[in-house]
Amino acid sequence: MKVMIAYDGSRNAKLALAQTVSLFRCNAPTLILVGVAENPGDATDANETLFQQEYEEMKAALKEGAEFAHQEGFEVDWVLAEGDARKMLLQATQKHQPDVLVIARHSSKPDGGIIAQSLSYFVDELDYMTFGKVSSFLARRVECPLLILPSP
Amino acid sequence: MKVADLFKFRTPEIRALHLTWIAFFITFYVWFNMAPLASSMLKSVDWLTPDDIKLFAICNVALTIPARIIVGMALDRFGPRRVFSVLMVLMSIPALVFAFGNSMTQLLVARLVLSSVGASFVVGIHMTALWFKPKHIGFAEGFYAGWGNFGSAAAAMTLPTIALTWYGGPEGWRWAIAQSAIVMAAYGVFYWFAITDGPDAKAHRKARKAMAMEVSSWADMIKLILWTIPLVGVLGILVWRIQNLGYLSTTGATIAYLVIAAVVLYQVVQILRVNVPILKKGVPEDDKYSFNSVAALNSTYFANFGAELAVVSMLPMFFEQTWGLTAAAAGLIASSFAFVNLVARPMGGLVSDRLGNRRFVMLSYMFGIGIGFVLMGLLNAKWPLVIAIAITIFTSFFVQGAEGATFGIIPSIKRRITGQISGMAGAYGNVGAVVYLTIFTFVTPTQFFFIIATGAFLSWLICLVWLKEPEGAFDEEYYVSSVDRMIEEQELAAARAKPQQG
Repeated sequence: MKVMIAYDGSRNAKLALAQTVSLFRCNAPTLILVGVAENPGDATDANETLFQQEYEEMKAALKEGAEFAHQEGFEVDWVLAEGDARKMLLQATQKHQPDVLVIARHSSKPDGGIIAQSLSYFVDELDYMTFGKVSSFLARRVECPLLILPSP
Repeated sequence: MKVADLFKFRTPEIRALHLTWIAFFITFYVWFNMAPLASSMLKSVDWLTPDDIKLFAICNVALTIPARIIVGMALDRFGPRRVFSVLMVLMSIPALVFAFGNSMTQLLVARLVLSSVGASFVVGIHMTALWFKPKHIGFAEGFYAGWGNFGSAAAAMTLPTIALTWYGGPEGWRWAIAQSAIVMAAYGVFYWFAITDGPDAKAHRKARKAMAMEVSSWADMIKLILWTIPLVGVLGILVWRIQNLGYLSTTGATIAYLVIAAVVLYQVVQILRVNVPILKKGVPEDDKYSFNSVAALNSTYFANFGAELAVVSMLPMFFEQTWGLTAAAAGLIASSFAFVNLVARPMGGLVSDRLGNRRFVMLSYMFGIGIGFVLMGLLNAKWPLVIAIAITIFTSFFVQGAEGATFGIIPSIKRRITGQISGMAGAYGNVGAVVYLTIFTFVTPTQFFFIIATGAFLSWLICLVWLKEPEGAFDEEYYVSSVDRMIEEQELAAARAKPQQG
């Protein structure tokens, strides 16, 4: 059995990984951690170093996650992609054909102030309209079973 | 990055963003300070003709292209802070000369030199890139570009009022232009002291790797050469037009043509020098990219930013003459075209990010521009003014959204040469403006709108055929293409050979 998990080293991703480990332990699956470094949406090459930094951070986070799962006694593999997070995850599932894909649902609360809140509300609305969030995009398109773990 | 973050003025990068967009805003304000005052100028200066005004409008976008190239080199040497400050202070001089110019030659030369101020866009983009994390850059730069572009709308809205009511009299327009120039010079000085190049004052800046864009095949190199020729070659059109109107002797024109030809030739030689060795060795499969996408994006920027620059230069007069409005009212209405910038351009980038299909977004926007300008072409005095304004806003929503969408795709074509690709596309915006404004000297506004619409539909066609949806890649197979790796190793070797200079 193959379990693929989207992992970016954030708090929610770590929680999701821990949950995955406890959920699927008895199946003794192969875990595949997938991280995606977002392309810099930048029209100069001034920030190439910043991107490299981010890329290295992502790599370190993946290795750390893989190490954790390995200590828990799992077969672990990890993949680092570069590009649009949604599309790359979709491609990863097509390529590796996992039995289930696990992702953490992000939840971000807008911070204070009436202007900030209404702006965030508007942008969120746009997200829902256009399926901007990774989880909703995958929910609509991914061809393997998908498990979305809410983060407390 | 959330929209709400824009209000966190205490964080250094947000401060830098606000300082920079204001600088860009002011340069655009000065750049477009003539169109809204055109009619006042005609009234107060007896030897000016409407044809002269049209010519000034072309001059106003002429030297922006070479200026962009020079500014690009200066950026690598001196960093955006110094370049921006110097540009603002220097460019206030021709603005002042234009304000108090008393002869045709003075005004013409001042406008030509002043057109360099349009290169400020590149400087700010660079500055923004040094401050933000790659993840947040798309939004930050959309915001910067949108709000800075709004400077042209602000000029259209405020300048007639300043000229006619604050200063008044036949000389009012001179003082209004002079005032904008002085504000720009002052802000240039302030900017020098208010900001640093990136969060770390000694932010590492890489010199540009080559003098020309790299390509992946011989066919692409031919295409690149063909697409490079108009960049400077378009100035030939301008020379021809100035000569036609009788401000340039045959000798002067010939010299100008020769200079332009020499520059074009130099660029072609550079392309050959950079690419022939690369292509002879053969480009590895994993490092290839298609130049067609670059060409398609050049055409979109030609058709949207070029159209915007051109339309902003003629819209106030169009409203004034078609509906018989006062200069101030026409300026205010025409500014609605650029007003939309505040929302439309960042939104173009945002929609391109969210929808997950950038190509489709680009195509939709280009089609919308075409429709919008067809509608504008149908406008005449019979239409109620409200409808005309609504159509103007509708059109500009698509025009600026398309600009945002263009710069949403550019970074994902080929990361190593993103700077060069965006430089080329950006310059094509100015090529578009020169071409459109030259055409404008021959036709009526109505025909002009139809021509722009045709340009947009053509660009839509080019995108349909050539533009590819950008793809990501997986680490294990081809994250760093072999050429990237080679460059990295060479850099490491060079770094080892020579101790770091701080």
